[in-house]
Amino acid sequence: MSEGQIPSSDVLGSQLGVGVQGASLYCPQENYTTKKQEKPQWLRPVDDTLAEDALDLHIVVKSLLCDTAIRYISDDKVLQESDADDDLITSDIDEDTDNQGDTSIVVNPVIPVVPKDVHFFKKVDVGNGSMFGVNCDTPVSFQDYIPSDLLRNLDDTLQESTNSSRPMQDAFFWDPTVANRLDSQYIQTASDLRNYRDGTEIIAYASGKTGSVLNIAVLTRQNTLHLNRHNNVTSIELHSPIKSIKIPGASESIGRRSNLVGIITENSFQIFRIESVHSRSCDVMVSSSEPLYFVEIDDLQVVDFAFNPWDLQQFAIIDIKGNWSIGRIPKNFNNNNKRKLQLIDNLHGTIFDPEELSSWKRIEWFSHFQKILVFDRSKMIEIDFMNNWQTEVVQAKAWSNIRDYKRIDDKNGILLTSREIIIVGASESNDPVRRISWKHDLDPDDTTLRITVQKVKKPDHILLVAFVYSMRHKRIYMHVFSHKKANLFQSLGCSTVLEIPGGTPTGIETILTLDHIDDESRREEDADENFELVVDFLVKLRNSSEVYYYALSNTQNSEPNKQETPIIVDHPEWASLFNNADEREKESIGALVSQIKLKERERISRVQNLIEHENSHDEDKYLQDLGYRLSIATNELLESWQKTKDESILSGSLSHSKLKNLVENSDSFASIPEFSSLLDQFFQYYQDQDVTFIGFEKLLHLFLHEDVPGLDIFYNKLLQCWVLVSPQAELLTKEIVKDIIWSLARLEKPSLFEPIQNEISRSLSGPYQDIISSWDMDDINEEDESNEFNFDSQFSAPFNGRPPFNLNSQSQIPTIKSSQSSGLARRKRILKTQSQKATPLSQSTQNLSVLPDSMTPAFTLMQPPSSQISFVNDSQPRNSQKAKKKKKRIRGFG
Amino acid sequence: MFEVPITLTNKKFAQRRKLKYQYINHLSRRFDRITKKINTTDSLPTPENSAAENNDEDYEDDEEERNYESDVGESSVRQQTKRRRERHWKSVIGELYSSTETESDSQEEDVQEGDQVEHETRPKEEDTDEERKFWKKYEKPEKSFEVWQTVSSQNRSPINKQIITYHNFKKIEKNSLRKMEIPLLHCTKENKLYFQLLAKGLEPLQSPTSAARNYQTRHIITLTNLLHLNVSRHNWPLAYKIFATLIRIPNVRIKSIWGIGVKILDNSPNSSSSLDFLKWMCQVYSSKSRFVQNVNYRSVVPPFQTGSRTHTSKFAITYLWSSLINCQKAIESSNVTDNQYEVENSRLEELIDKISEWVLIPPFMEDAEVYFIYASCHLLKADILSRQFVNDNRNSDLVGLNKDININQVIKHIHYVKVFLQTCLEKGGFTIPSRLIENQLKSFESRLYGEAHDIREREMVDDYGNTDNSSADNSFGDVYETNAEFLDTQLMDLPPIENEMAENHYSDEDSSE
Repeated sequence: MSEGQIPSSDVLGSQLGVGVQGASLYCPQENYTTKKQEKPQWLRPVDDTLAEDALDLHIVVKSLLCDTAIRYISDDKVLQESDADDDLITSDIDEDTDNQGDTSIVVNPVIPVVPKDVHFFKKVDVGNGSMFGVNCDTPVSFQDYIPSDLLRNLDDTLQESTNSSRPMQDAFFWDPTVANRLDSQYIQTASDLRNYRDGTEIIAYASGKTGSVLNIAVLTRQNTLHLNRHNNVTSIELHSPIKSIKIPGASESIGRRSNLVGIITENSFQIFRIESVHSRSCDVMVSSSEPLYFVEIDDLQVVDFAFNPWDLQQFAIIDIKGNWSIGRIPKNFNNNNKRKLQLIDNLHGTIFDPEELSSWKRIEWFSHFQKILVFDRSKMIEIDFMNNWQTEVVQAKAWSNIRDYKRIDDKNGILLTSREIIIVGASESNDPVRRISWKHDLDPDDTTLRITVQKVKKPDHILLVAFVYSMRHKRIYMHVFSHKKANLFQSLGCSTVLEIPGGTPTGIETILTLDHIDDESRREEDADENFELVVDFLVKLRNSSEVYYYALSNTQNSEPNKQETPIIVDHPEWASLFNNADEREKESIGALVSQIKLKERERISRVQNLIEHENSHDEDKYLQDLGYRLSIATNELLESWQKTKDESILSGSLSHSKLKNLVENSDSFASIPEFSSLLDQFFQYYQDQDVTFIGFEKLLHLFLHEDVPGLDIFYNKLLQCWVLVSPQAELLTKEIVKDIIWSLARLEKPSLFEPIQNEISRSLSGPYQDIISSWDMDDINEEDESNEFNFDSQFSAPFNGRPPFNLNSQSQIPTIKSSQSSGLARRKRILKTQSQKATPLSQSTQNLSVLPDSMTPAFTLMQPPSSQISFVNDSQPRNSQKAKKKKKRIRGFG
Repeated sequence: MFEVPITLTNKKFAQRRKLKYQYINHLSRRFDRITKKINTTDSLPTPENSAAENNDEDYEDDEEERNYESDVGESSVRQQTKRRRERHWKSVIGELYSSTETESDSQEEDVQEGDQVEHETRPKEEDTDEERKFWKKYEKPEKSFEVWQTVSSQNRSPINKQIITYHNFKKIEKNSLRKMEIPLLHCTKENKLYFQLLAKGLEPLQSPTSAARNYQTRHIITLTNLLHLNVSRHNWPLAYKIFATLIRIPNVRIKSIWGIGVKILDNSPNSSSSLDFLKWMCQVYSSKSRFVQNVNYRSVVPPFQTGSRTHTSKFAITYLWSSLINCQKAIESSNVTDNQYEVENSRLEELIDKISEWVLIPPFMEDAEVYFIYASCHLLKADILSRQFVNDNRNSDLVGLNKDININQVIKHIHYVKVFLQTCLEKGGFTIPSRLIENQLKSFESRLYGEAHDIREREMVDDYGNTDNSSADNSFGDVYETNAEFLDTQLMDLPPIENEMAENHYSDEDSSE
C-alpha cells in the first residue's frame, strides 16, 4: 500500500489544517561538498517551496457574461443580449437555420414592460387531473399564465412575487434538489470529431420566470470570456422548472468530449444532444431525448445524474430517497420511436437510509467504468454495478456531514465535508483511498457549502484550486493542492478568502470553473521561475440574474505599478507613507497625489505666464476691467433670474451661481489686497440690491481654524506656513488663494427664494407643515422658553452663585410640559402669547442677543466686563421673579 | 462564516435536535420492521439472494455475517460490537497492550464495563434521550471526523436492490409523523415549521451561529471571522492581537483554534514561541483518559482537538514534527564548529530523550507515527554525524580512536532507525516509504568508508524518485542482498524487538559517549 511517497496513515492519509504538521520524510542531500541547498530537505505534506504570497490571488478581470433575465424572443428561439452591444442582432439566416424564425421582440428586463404575449383572462381552466403530464408534443401557444392573486401582489413585491406564498420557508430553508442551473464546458459535435477540431465552449443555463427555459449558447474567448458575437442563444421551453443542468466531462482516455446536456426538471429527466454548431453564426442545433418522467420510474424525484466518462451512452440517476439506476442513452434522438432514455433492468439499487432526512444525494462515476460513488449526507458508498457489490467507504454519522463531491479526473475526486476538504484517490486496486485532507474551519453547520475545482497545469505538476462557497455569504474559500505524478498530493499550506465584490449581501448560487484547452505556447511561458497562477470561473449570485466571469491571478497588476512608481520616485518622503499604507489606502493616496500634481502643474504654468507678461500687464487696469465685467455679468444674471422666476417657483429649483462662472480670464493678477478690496466693493454694491454673497470669513475659518478677518490676512497666514516649502511659495500661495476664492464665491437672491419656499410649504401635508412652521416660530418659542431656560445657564455658570432654592425651581422642569405639548398646540399657544407678550418681547429680545454668549464662561470672559455686569443685573430680577412663581406652584403640589 | 470555538447551546436548537432524532429513530425502527417482514416472507431463491450467497462464500465470517448483512439497519451496530469484541479478545490475548499486564487487565475491565453499562442502560433509556440512542448506534471515530473504510474488499456486500418505493416510504413516514404529533404540540411555531420542512427533505439555511443574538457570542463570532480572514491575508500582527483577545474570553475552547495560534506564532518575530505554545498545549491538554464510545462528544470533537489513551492528539504530533524540523533547519544553518551547532545538537538530543520517554506511555506507545518520528530523529542524527566524513573541510581530528567512536555512533543511530521503523511497521496503520529510507541509511554508511562504495551507492540513490514502491515490502532484510557484505549494519543481527529496547538504547548511548 505504500505508493504515496509521503509517509501517512494507511486509512486517513495526511490530515492537515492551519498550523498542523503532518508526517514528513527527511530527505538528506546527497552531496555536502557544496554549501548551497539544492532541494528541500523535507518532503512534507505541506509544500512550502512556494513563496508565502503565491496564493495572494486577486481579481484581474471581471466582466458580465450574460444576464439570465434578458431574453429575446423569436418564435421558439430566445436570443441573448450582453451589455456591450446595444443593437439587437438577430441570427443570420443560413441554410442550416432557415427553419428558425427571425421575428424578434425585445423584452426589456426592467420589469414593468408586459410581454406582448400576455393576455388577461378572467378565468383559466387548468385541468385538475394530471398536473405533471404536460404535453410536450402538442404545440403550446406562447402564453404565460399568471394567477390573478399573483398579479395583485405584483405591485407590492415585484421581485419576490413568485415566492410570496411561502416567505418563511425561504428564509430558513433551501431545497437541496436544486443543483447547478448553469454549466459550461467544452463539447465536441460529430463534425468536430470528423474534422479534428478541439471543440467549442458552450454555456447552458436556465432562465425565464420560473426557470423553465433552457438556454444553450456558444462562448468565445477574446481577452475575457463572453457570449458569441451574435449573442445567439438557442432556448427551449421545458414547461417545468429546471432543477439541474449538467454537461458531462468525458474521460481523457477516450480522446473526445461529450456533446450532451442533461437536464432535471421538476417532473422529468431529459438529455439534449448538440448536433451541430454553426461556426459563423454560432447557431446551436439541438436534438432532445424523450423526457423520462418520474411517474414512469417510481414517482420519486430524481436529484442527480452522472454520465459515464468512458461510455458516452451510459448515465446514472439517483432519486431523493437514494434509489439509483443505470441507464442508456439512445444513439440517435431523431428517430421518433427510439429516442427514449432506457433504464437498464437489473442495474439498480438503493442506499436508502431512514435516518437521512435530507433529499440531497449525489451520484458520480469513480475510477473505473463500472464503479460509481453514491453519496447522501452521511455516507459515501462505492458500487461496482457489474460485479454486484457495494461498500460503505465513508460513514459520516458522528461529527461531520458530506457537503459535496466533485470528480477531478479518472483517478481522483474531491470530497467536501462540513469540516474538511479531502482528496479521494483510487488505489492500485481501484479502491477509493483518502490521500490528503485540509481542515477548512468553515462553519460546520452551514449546509449550503459546495465545492468546485479547477485544474491548473504546470510543467511538473498540476495545481488543484478548490473553491468552497456557500449560499449564505459572498466569500469564496480557496485552497490549493498540488498533484505531482505518482500520486503525490501536497497542500500549499494556506488558504485565501476572496470576497465577490458588489451587489447586495446574498450568497453565491453557483461557481463554475472553466476548462482550458492547453495550448503549447502558454505552457512554455509558465516554465520560467515566477510562480504564476491564473484561475478563472463563472459566478452567479443568489437572487441575481447576472452571470459574471472572473479571472484571478497572483501576479501583481502591471497597471497600478505604473501608476505608483513615479509618485514614489520623485517624492521619496512619500515612500515611507506608502509602505505603511494598505491596499485601499494606497489607492486613495495615489488618487489624491495625482490630483495634487495636476493642480500644481496648472498653477506653475499660470505663474510662469504671469511672470512673462508682468511687464506688458497693467494690473490696475486689469482689475478695473475685471470688476466691470463681473458687474455686467451679474446684472445679466439677476435679470435672467427675474425672468425665469415663475418657472423656478414651479420647478422648485433654486437660483444661485458661482462668481467664477460669470467671468473668464479671472486670475491674471498678482496683488491680493487689491483683489480683496475689489471684491469688497463688489459685495457691498450688490448687497444693497438685495443680493447675498457667501460669507468668506466663516469658510476661511475652516481652513485655518482661527478667525480670518480678511483675504489678505488669510493669504499672509498661508504664506507663513508655506514659505519654507518652496522658493516659489509666494506665487503658488497667491494662485491657491485665488483658486479658493473663485471656487467659494457664490451669490444668490434671497427674495427669489421666498415664493419657492411658500410654494413648497404649501404643498406639504398637514403634520409636516406644522413641523416646518414650528421651526419658523422657534425664535419666539425659544425666547418664550428662554426665560425659563435661563436657570440652566445661570445655574451652571459658577459666578452666579444662586441660592439653593433655585435648584428646586429648576427641577420643576417646565420643559417637559412644553416638549410634551404637540407642535400644533404649541404653535397656537405661541401665537397667542405673541400678541400678549408684546411688551416683554422687546426686553427679552435684547436678552436673547446676549444669552447664547452667557452659556459658556469662555465667551463671557471674552466679552467686555461691563456687558457681563449689565447682563447679570438684567437677568437677576427676572429670575428671582420666576423663582417666586415656581415656588408657588410647588406649594400647590404639596 | 467560520467555525466558532465555543459551544453554542440554545433551548431552541436543543429542541430541534430532539425532534429530529426522535423522528429519525422512529423512522428507522419502522423501516427495520418493514424490511424484516419482506425478508421473512420472501423466502424463494431470487437472483439477488443467490448472488448474495455466492459473494458471501468468499468470506470467512460466514453465517453471522450473512444474516446481518441482509439487515441493513443493524449492520452498523453489529460492526461496532464486532470491533469491540475483537479488541476485547485481542486484549485478552495480550496483543494490544503487551507491555504491562495491568494495563491489559484494566482495558479488559473497561470493555466489560462498557458492555455492561450499555446492556443495563439500553432498556432504561429507550425513550429518554433519543439523540443518545441514535449516537450509540454508530462507531465514533477518534482520528478523523468520519469512519473511513478504504480497504473496501473486506466489507463488500451485495448491492442492496430493495428499492424503497414511494408507497413504502409514505407508509413509514405516515406512521412516524403521527408519532411526532404529540411532541410537536409542545413546540414553538418556529420549531414546528423547522421540523416539518426537515421531514420534507429540505435543509436549514440558518445555523446556530447566524441566529446567535447574545452579545458575547456575536463578539466571539466576529472575532473568529476576523481571525481567519487576517490569517488568510497574512496580516500577522493583527491576527496575533485577535487571537490573544479571543483566547482570553471565557468558554472559548483553545483546543479548537490551536492550529491558527501555531500558524500566527510561527510568523511572529519570536521564532520559537510556536513551539513553546505547542509544548504548553501538550502539557495542559493531553488527556490520557479512555475514549468512551457512549458519551456524546458533541461539543468537543476528538479529531484535531483532543487526545485520549488510544489517540495521540494532533497538537502533540505537530509538536514533535515541528521541533524535529526546526532542529534540522537550525543545524543546517549553523556551522559544525559553531557554538550554535552544539546548542542545536543538544536540542536534538533533548528531543530524542523526550520521545524515548513518551513512547513508554499510552497514546504514544501504540502510535506508529510517533515511532516514525523517533526513527526520523535518528535518521537526522545519523546523517549529521556521517556528514563529517564526506565534508570538504573534513575534521582533522577524525583519525584513530576518534574516528572509530564516530563510526560507532553513526552505526548505532542507523541501527536505531531500523529498530524504530520496524516497530512503526508492527504497530501498523502507517505507510512509510521504507525502501527509500533503507537506501538513505546505506548511503550514510557508505560515507563512513570513504569514496570507494560511494559511486555505486549514488547510482542507487538516484533511482529513488522512480522507485517502484509496490516492491517495497515491509520486511527489512531482503532489500540488502545487493551489497550487504560491504556494510556492517547489514550483517548485524537484529535482536528481537521488544519494548524494553527503547529503554535500553539510552544506556548504550550514554556509555559510548
